[in-house]
Amino acid sequence: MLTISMSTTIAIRGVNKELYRKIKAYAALEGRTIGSIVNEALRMWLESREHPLYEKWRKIKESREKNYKWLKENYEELCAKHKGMYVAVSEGKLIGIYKDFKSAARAVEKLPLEEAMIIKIGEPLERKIDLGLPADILK
Amino acid sequence: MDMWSPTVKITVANPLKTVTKEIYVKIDTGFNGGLFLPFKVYIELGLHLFETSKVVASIATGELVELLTSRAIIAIKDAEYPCTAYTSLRANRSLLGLEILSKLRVSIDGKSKKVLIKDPKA
Repeated sequence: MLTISMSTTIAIRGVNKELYRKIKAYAALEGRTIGSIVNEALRMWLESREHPLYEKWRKIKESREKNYKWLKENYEELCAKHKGMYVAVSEGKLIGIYKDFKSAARAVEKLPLEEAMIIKIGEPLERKIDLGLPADILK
Repeated sequence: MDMWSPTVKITVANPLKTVTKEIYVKIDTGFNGGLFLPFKVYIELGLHLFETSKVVASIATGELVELLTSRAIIAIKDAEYPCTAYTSLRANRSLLGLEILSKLRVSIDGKSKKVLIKDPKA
């Protein structure tokens, strides 16, 4: 089978300098062209958008970002007043503050929401973990 | 040749136990979380309504991936274990990690292709 690779030369404005610097470094390390890495990234981006659940994913991510922003802005006050209680947030808006997780979860479940976040007030808003997962489970 | 994977059947529920699902999960000692699920299963269980703090995970290649995370409950035999469930849009497998495995007595008999989970209280 003969495979014909179609390629073109384009100029792109607004590329983040730091990202470009890293891509250049990886390309050199892996002995690849920047074009092949950009093609791989574009392919992955397109595959994500073509995923049947992408819209659902996008809405959840958007809501999560808004929640995270709201929590960051209000966390100090929440910790001062309600430490140990549970806060429920959705779409960047406060749903309520509850004495235990189950009460928060029950309140959330009754509402027609795309996504909701329930945090124990006082616990870190962000965690870094080492999953050690192979990359292929995310393909 | 297909490699055999140590797999067990578990029941997963959302934190209120209003939705439950039976799934097969691969035992993965390289994963230090509780449960890793395909996004579709995560949604079917309604876990997107009980999300927890932001989690950035490093995978085996060192890349960082932001995951969705939620509380969940899993049942194995007669015992229940609250745990953290993780997912990503492109997650395509169910994995059972050390957060749960460390609470169980699991024997893997590779030659007979069997996984034995003993009563964790024994």
